[in-house]
Amino acid sequence: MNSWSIFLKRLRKNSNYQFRVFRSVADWTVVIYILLPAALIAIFNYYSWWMEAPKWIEGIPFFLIFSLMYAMIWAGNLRTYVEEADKVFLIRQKPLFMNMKKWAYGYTIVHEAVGLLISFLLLLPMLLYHYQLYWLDIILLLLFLLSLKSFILLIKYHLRKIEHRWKKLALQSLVFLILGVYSILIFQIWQSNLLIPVIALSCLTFMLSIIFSLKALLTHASIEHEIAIHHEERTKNIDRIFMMAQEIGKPRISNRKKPLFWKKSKRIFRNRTPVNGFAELFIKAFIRNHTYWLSYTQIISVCTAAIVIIPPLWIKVLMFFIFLIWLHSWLVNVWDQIYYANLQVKKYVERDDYYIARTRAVRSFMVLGIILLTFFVTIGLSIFAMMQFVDIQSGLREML
Amino acid sequence: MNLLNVAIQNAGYEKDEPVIHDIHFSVSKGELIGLIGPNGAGKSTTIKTILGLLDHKAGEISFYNEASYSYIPERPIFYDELTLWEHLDFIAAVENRDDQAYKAKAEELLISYKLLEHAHEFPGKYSKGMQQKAMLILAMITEPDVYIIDEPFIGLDPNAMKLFLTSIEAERERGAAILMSTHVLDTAEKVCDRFLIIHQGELQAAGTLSEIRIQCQLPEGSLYDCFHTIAEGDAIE
Repeated sequence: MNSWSIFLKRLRKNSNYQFRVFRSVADWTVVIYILLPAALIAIFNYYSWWMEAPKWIEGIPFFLIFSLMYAMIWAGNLRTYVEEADKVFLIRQKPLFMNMKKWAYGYTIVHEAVGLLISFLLLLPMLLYHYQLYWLDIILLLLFLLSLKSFILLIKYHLRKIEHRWKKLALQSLVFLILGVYSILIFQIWQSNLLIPVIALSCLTFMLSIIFSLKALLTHASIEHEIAIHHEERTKNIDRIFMMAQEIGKPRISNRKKPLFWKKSKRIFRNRTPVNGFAELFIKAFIRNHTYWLSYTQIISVCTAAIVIIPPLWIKVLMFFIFLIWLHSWLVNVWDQIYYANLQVKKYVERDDYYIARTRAVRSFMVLGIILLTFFVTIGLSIFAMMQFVDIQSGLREML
Repeated sequence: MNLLNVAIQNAGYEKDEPVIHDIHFSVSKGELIGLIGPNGAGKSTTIKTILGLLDHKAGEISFYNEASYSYIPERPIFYDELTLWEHLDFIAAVENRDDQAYKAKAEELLISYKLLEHAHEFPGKYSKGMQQKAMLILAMITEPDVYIIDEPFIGLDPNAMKLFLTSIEAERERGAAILMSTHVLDTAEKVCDRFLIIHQGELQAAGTLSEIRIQCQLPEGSLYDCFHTIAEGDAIE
């Protein structure tokens, strides 16, 4: 067995795992009735872009597309495919272990390059016909983004090692800003048709990233860190499913040792009754677990968008009722999930107090949800009305 | 006075596939009973049946006059989003405990187990030993009539083990009945009043060490010798 075959085996295992995750969500009905039609529509749309650029691209400056690409290359991690058991077995075979990591690094770069290439292919009709870029410009941009991506992967690899949450966040934001400024600089050089500096800087960044990445990877000291990254990358699709469907399982929690809110275990309710006890546990668990409140805001934002965008009034009303039913069943689900996760409190869950607290807590979060939805829908509809007003005005001006 | 009466005819995880059969015993006030047996013998299934966590059960589990109980699982379980103090606060609230009395008791336990300075941290982030201690505190805060403890010694350092045994002794003296599943036989032999030896889902021997020795035909044998005889399948006539 050599390092290549070990890496290949792990890659295959990971791909099979991701495929099984995909299949767990997309059974044949989803594939036939949703994914296949969606793919056909997407292909047809993409084909039409080659005939004529879509209307929506007209108001979008190329700098915005570039900025979005910059934001997108911050996704992903440097993969090594190191597993927990390697700490005991493979680590003893140093050349085998290190070469396996080299293959994994090489694969990460190729994988990211293919990802970027696909993004460019999708945008190609717009880049060529709408923004009227030359092939050389596009290739240079691709090269620059790939070199920057390899550098960002290295930076993220080191940033992840920082234990302190705020320090990590502050440093990550700082690096994001610095590299953003650097990208704007390169963008301006690129726009000025100074191609040599762009090529030189991209190649230098790429080479330095590879050298320092291999230096960071080819050591035993970061094994725990690499295992954590592998685990996170492996399960990220599952985490996404968990976020969308609470009934599937327990969502991920933060790495904090102490709470951010209600430090020193401060109470929410002064009056200590069993009902308040149940409600307080739910509220704290809900607020402190980001997957809960993210899903809550997602439900509100999706329904807000649907109510604002879809024109007939009866659909808006229908959407509001769908929102009420969806939010209610989701909240009840989250409540039960929080309580049933712990065997020790199972003895309390048959009590009346438990159900009274559940009704009250769900009702409170429902009211908050309705208030937020009303607020955002009002803002959305106002913006929509203003846009229509501006449209009518410009139409009238054109007529006159 | 029997605080817990167990009369399991059979129980299991799947319908018509029982894992344990004919397990009958009771735990009296102030009594400490050791539930022992090899891996896969049915100890955890017995505990889960007592706690009402199995859907497929024939038989009866009864607590005397609605006696309260605390369960200490083998693997500590916490709410990831609550601090240790909030766990204690939650239990006190749902158990309708007097606020001042519960706070005093909580502080006393936290000081004894050296967790006071970590009380406002998430116990899910504690070390294994600290988590085990936190579980004990959460069980003791309500001063229950019955304790059901699954493998309490795993992860405890010698000092914590001593503290645990002292606390358990104090609870017995208070009148609590304790059912404790364990593999640490030498400790069990010293502290338990009676033993239940389970093997292949059935109660193979029960009683004091002297009674177990007679059942195993090992008049001078230790608890380990008796356990070994049963686990290795030497028939008990």
